[in-house]
Amino acid sequence: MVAHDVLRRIDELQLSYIDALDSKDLAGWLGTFQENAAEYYVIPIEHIEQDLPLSLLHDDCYARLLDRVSFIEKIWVGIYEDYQMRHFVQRVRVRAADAPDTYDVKSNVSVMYTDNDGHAHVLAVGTYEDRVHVGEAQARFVRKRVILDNFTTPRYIVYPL
Amino acid sequence: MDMPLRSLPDPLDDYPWPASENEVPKEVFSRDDIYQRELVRLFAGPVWHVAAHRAELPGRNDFKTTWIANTPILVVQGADGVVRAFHNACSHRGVMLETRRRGHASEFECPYHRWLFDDQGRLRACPAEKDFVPGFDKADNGLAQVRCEEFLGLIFVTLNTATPPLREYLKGLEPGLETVLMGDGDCRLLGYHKTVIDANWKLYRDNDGYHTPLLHKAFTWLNWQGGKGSQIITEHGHLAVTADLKPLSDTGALRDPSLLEFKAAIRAGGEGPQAKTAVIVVSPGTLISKALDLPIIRYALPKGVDRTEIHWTFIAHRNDDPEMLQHRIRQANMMGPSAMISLEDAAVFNRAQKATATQPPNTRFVKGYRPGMDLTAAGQNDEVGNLAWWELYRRQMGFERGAA
Repeated sequence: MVAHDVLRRIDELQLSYIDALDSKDLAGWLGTFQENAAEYYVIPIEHIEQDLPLSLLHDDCYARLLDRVSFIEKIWVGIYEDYQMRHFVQRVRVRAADAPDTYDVKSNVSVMYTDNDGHAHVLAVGTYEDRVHVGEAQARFVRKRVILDNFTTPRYIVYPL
Repeated sequence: MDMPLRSLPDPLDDYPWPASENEVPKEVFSRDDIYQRELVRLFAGPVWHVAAHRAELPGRNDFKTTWIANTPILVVQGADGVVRAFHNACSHRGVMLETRRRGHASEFECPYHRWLFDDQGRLRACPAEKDFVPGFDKADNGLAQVRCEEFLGLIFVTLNTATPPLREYLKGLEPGLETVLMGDGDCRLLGYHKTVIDANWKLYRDNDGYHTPLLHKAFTWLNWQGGKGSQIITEHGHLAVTADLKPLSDTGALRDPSLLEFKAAIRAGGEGPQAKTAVIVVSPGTLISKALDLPIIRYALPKGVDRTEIHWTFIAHRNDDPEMLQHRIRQANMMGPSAMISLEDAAVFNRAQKATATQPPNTRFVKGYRPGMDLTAAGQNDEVGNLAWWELYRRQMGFERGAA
């Protein structure tokens, strides 16, 4: 049984995460990860089914999370077609992990996006498989894996999911 | 009297192709009647298409399904090690036979009436055969096989009997393919990035050397200068842009500069195919590139006139040690539909597609073009590399060039 207070802090973290992305607040997005020791992956589900090692986004150290923000803010400025995201997340399972104060959290997620012409579509649907450290003051992601059911994405992905 | 439909006059027979050979009508990217003609004259025409690499079906009885435009194809490595390709449809009522994208199977069974085919496409069983039409012979009812030939593990198929042999079709492209497929093409599959562009397939294949340093700001940001290189254009309209690339110096732009490490070049002392970088267009619709240590096959699968599925297929060499394998997996953040370089390509294609009904009516290739030039000669950063293919396209489609 996971304590109610732990669940509350995990939910607050998840909501901060999606609010940051839907607001295109990339500093806020970074802030949901444990500084200097966090990983972020987006993995097409067919790679899990077929035992293929590649990810769509593969940030296996904190430096790569910082670089992802640099791509978006410094390299791609003015060349991508922008879009507005809305994330919908539902926690479905929480289990204590092997490390102290650490939990494995599975959530269902869908991400809608609205394009330049005002049309809304499904950008991503799948699950978050997260490892979360719940400290005294705050919870932070140690690792976030986005498993994409829609392994053929309807457009290129600019922002993290 | 019955008149076959195909003998009716086709308004496209008088289609006015521009007189200047560096101009292409924008509407070839958006007119459905032109797309329908491409299905017949190009996709089912005397042309080879890259359907797979052996890395995607590495073992005996492994298979992959794919498409040549609107024709579903089943590619199977038989128990005998031979790769064969078939129309992916039961020979009885045309139900698609295999719906998995990849897998392992020694037999393929149609669920409708349980007709069963073996790994060489032969019909092995069909329930209630004694009640069939007189003269029915299983030997005449195997899967429709398509011609299939290999080069460096790339599996090419053609739907046409008049297509020249593969080696003749690829003539001149061999060194480029050796570069992108790491010498011998003995590759293993790492995975896919699959995405959709809202653009015609020809916009995707029209790669040019002119846009590279201009659209892709990362090259400037990272001080990534292309080394000495060449652009080879073959008589069948293939394109190979090859360059020596020195290992990049760390500019401090990235917190994790290992993204740009050129491990194979360092290990090889700057020599051999592993130390080169290249972009190849295998006409009509496949791009194969190797930037740094990242070889990628990009299948452009048309899903209608204004929609194309791109399957970025990442591969490694089968002899890679664990360190090199991990490096290639990590380097996939560098190039791809959602990676540091190439994301911006899709934005350009989508915008070009939206504006096909604009003036002037033709899109133009100008950098490096001189009237009357040899279309198979171009510099590394020119955009005329596609013109040889467009000339083949025009002829294949039966369009007459206007008077100058």
